[in-house]
This record gives sequence, C-alpha cells and structure tokens, in this order.
Amino acid sequence: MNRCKDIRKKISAFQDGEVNQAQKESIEIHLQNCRECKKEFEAMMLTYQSIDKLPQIEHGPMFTQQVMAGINKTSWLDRFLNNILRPLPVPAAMTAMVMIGLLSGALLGNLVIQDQLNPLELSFPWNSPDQEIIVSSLSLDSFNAVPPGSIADGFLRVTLGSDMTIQNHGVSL
Amino acid sequence: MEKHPNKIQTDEDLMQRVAKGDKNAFTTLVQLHQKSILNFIWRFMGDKTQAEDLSQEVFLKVWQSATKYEKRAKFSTWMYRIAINLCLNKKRALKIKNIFLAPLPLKKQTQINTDCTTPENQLLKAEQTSQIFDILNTLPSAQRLAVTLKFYQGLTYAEISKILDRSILAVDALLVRAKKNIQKKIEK
Repeated sequence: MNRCKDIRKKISAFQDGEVNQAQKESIEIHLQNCRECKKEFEAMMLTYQSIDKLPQIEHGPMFTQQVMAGINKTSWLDRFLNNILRPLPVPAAMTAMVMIGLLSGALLGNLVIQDQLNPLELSFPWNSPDQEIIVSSLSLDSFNAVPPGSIADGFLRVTLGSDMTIQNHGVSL
Repeated sequence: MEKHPNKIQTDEDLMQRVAKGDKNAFTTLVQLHQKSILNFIWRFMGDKTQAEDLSQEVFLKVWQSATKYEKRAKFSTWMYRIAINLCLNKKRALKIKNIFLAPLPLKKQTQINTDCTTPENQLLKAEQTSQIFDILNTLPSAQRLAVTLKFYQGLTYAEISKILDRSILAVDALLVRAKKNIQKKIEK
C-alpha cells in the first residue's frame, strides 16, 4: 500500500514527463500490476483529454504594424520614466512621501504662526538681559499641552480664529 | 537560450539590441512570439478580444522595459511574466468593474479561426471550445496558469517554476490540484 501511495504522489509528474528514467520505469511496471493505480492514472489522463481540443488562434495580418505604431507613439520620455522612476522601491517611495509631508507640514506651521516668537531669531541671553526671560519662558513651554509655535498651536489658531487669545502660553476663550 | 532556425541570433541577443532602441530587432521578436503569447493569453483569459489587446500591451511593455532585461534570464520566461502580470491586473480590474456594474453575459467562443470548413463543423468546434473554457474557468488563477503553461505552452516544471516564482514541488502540487478540480468538473 505504501508503494501505491508513493506512486500516486508521482503520477501527475509521470503524466507530464517530469520524472527521471528510473522512476518512469518503476511507475510503468507498477501500473501494469496495480489495478487501482492504473485507474487513478487513467482518470488523470482524462483531464488533459477533456481540455485537449482547444484550437490555435492567430492575430490579424496587421498586428506587427499595430505594435510598431504603438511603440512609435511611446516617446523617449515614457521609456525614461518607466526605466528610471518605476524601479524606485516601495520603502524609498514611502520615505520620500513622509519627508515631503513633514516638510510641507513644518512650512505650513511656520506660515500659520509666523507672528509667534521664532527661536532661530532669538539672540542669546548674554546679549540682552530681556531675552533671558523669553528663552526661559520658551523652555518651560515644552511642558505646555499646546506650546506656542507647535503645529497644534497653529491648528487651534486657525480653527478658533481671533476669538482665542493666548495668555501665558495657555489657551483661554 | 533558444536559437531560431533562420536566425543567427537568439532571443536574448535580439533583446540586447532592443534595449539599445533597435526597432528591427524588436519587429523580429514580435513576429517570433506573437502567436504563442496570443494563444497563451487567450487560454488564460478566455476572451479573444482581450487576448489581442493584452498581447499588444505585452509587446509595448517589452519595448518600454527592454533596458531592465538581463541577458541571464531566458527571454520567454521574462515575457511570460510580463503577460501574466498584465492578465492578472486585467482580471482584477474586471472583477472590480463587475462589483459595480452588472456582469456582462459571457461571450461564446465563436470567433475562432479553425480549419473546419462547413458551418456544422465550425459550430461543433465552437461548442467544444466553449465547454473547455467552462472547465478552465472553474480553476483558480494559479492552477489555470500552471495548466496553460504546462499543457498548452508545453513548458517544463522548471520553466514554470521560474515564471510563477515558485518551487518545482509547488508547481507539481498546483498541477495535481488543477487535475483533481478538472476531474470533479468532468464528473458533474
């Protein structure tokens, strides 16, 4: 019975001519002696016979000309884009999208809150005693839920409009 | 590397010329492979009009992607992969279209070029073709691809495994399952 099991595992490959010579001979001998396996093989042969009568179809006589007309329409730019840009791997494309998103978000945030203090424009505390207060105030803002200059701050300013005032870096309506 | 009887150059050599923009080499490739690619797509998709359109798209894609082709790979394997991707994309698009629109009635395969001269023979042949597609339509895409590549295109398991990017054992298993499914369909 184990022999039959082994043979049936290979019977499809045998039908497709995908077994080596030794296996082929061994299967052929087994099929001559085992009625059950022979029945299984004949049933498998019927599958290909049932789909055997599909005719060949052909293109119209102008096919090659149509294809050539198609490639003549394809400009060198299409070929360039196809070959240079398409192979960009998905992670690289996603990283590029995230970078563009972050940069445009930061730019938008700066545009919205440009009347706020810009840390880059600050002079250092040792230049002016007044600036020391501002810098220490800004450092405390990192604990604020909506620190001035953040995107959240910009969003609140846009959505709540001029009714909102920011006092001591807290929100009050 | 397949050499053509009246050609000194192999498909792979021709592709190298195509990559440099040689249209004569491309014309030769189209003429050599148009029939096999058309029949392959027709047997997989089951529609002659779609097969004609898709086979044209395959060759356009070959032209556009020629510089990406590596000579190490067999050209026919590469071309079949392009054809399969296009066919699967088309099937997906049709499936989505059918979700939103009422599916069109299946066309009977009557527009086939056969050597049958009498109308009775043509009708018989068309009916036979339709029955075969009824059987093939019951198979999932992967099994249908494996059957088409093995039985109709006459490729080896090793070639099919490269085209489908699966192991030889997996191809064997696909074909076994496909044959079982065909058996079930015949018994009904």
